[in-house]
Amino acid sequence: MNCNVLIVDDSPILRTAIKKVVRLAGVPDDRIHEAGNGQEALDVLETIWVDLVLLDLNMPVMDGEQFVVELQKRDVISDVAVVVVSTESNKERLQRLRDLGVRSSLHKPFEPEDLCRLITEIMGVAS
Amino acid sequence: MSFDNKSLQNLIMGALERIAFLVVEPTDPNVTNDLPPAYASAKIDFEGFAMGSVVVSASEGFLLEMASGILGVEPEDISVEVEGLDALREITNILGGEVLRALGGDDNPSKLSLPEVINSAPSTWPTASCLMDAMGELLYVSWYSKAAKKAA
Repeated sequence: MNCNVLIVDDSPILRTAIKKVVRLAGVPDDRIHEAGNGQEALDVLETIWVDLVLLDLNMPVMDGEQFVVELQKRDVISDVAVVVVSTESNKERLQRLRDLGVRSSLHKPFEPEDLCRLITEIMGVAS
Repeated sequence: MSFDNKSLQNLIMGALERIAFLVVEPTDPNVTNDLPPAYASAKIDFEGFAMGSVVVSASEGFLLEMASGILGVEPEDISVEVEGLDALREITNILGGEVLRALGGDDNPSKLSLPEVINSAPSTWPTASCLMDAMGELLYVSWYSKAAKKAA
């Protein structure tokens, strides 16, 4: 799969687990990038083009919702597919994130197959 | 909404199976005196329509099994102080979210804190708790409702 993916999660072990699933979806290692919070993710976006962001919400420094607001302010939210991968289940907050431009969400704990399917769907590649 | 020890057990079993491919079962702490000691504990707080904390304690072997399940590597390749504690924080984060959801979080606004490793559990009795076993290694999960504390 010819796309750059950014995994944003403050848990290194979860980033590693998600990275494995992204690999399974067909994204090569050198196209998978990581960030530990929203600010680090913005820094990554300053240096490389990213097609898909897999975003945790509950993070230190800059949380996922603040990150999405920043993307909208910079007018890049429509160019980057953002998928929220988090423990968040509140419908109102998830709707607010969709209104800000988030494409989809996946609730933790998730089945790896569900994340793999979501990645291929979002990136427009048949699984 | 009714939320008891059985509800908590079901949440834990589902979460660990999905995130770490780890099958756990409820166990009775009174059946044996040969329990492995807890290696570490972590806590997450939530506030909003429901107020409280979830505290998770695990034996060293459980942390190794859980981290190896999440990463898909052998337990021998895991550092309990690095991946083990990271796995503990993450399962605490997930269980905090699951408890909140079971209490009605889908329809009611609330906020979770960041999970943190703690030195000691709260000194009050939990609202619900359970001890889970995975091949002799143990996980103890407690939910403390702030409302319940006030009523006690």
